[in-house]
Amino acid sequence: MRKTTMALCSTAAGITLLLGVKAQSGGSPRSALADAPQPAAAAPSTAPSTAPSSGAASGGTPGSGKFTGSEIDTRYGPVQVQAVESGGKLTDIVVLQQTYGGHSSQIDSYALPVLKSEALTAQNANIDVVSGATYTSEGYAQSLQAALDAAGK
Amino acid sequence: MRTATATVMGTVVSLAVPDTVKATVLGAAADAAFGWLRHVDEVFSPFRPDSPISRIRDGRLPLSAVDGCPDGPEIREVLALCEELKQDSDGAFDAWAVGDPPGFDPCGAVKGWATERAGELLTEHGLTRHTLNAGGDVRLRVGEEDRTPWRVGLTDPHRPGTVLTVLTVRDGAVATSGTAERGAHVFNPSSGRRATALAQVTVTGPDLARADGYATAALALADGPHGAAAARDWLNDLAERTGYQALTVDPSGATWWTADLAALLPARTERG
Repeated sequence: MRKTTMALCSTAAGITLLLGVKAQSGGSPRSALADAPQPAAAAPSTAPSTAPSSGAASGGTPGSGKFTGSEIDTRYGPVQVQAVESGGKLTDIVVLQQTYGGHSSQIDSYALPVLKSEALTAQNANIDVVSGATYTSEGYAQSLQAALDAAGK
Repeated sequence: MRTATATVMGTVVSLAVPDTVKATVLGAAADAAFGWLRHVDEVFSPFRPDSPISRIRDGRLPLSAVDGCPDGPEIREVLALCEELKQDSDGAFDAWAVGDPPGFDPCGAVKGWATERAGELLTEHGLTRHTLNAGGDVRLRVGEEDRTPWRVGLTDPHRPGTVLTVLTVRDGAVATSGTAERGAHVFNPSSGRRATALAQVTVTGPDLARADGYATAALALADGPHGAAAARDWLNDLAERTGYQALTVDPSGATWWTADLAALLPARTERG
């Protein structure tokens, strides 16, 4: 459960950064997950909540489920994200709402993948193998793949 | 998972199989696959002055004499692959125009080709479910018993140590070319300049030799007169012709992907 807390905190940090970029000229950055329930309070529920204005968790086992952040307004429209957790690991960030049209969609097409990469590190993305620009034999030690290889041994 | 690694081809090759595989089976298969890759390194390395490839490059080994070489059939196979990739990419991938001054260097095709063959060797040695990662270019198989797909993280070129997204793949290849790890190491044959208009290109499809070549070609195309847009047009066309799907990352961090890649991406990822 502690892992979950840390994962959601880092997610919140990522979104804060994202919105900080988007709200450069007005408003203070807020986190879409800042109001999400703490994992201890996120008891598994049989009825997934779809209420957009409050955090909700659904799922069958502790350490697994979907944690939905609050909908927040940005200068480009409402944004809401959901953290998907499995076996105590953060496995995905799903964007439930994003803004569309004109300038907004252009910005989001840039911003949303950045948001994802803030959250998905080797430890919490539950990945088996890493594809990337070729690393040298010297650079391997610092690569994500090296971390996975070490974990597998 | 059980893992085995080897330093070869200037990088590290990582093999992973389920825990249920016996260590002796993994060892024998890894020896065969890594041994093959070391052999390829000797034959095709442009950095070894007396390799057949170095001798082709400086004219000591004319193409008409390749068939008489001990490794003639393999060299012919790579030459044919280079030609195929050159045709497929309208010249953006040209193994005969690498570097300044332009010269013969099939490196952009050899690693993927060799790793594809290494994966076949693993299967022949009983590793029906495996991932084989040659410095960022990956070949995956799930086998018959456990069809659970592998989760392939794509590195974020702008944030070392994090992944941009995850592809779920059962059988196939995921190749990524980029400028992040080795500096700009892909040359555009028409300009002779290093390719920089895209930060990273990932291509996925059945065969690693082609996926690797297509990713390299897209990176080179992006550096041409029509920039990243030309690379994306070509990748869209490639997806229609061959079924290989692609994802690109701009120097700004913006991402774009071919429509059918969505089936491999996490649910509800919005297209850029």
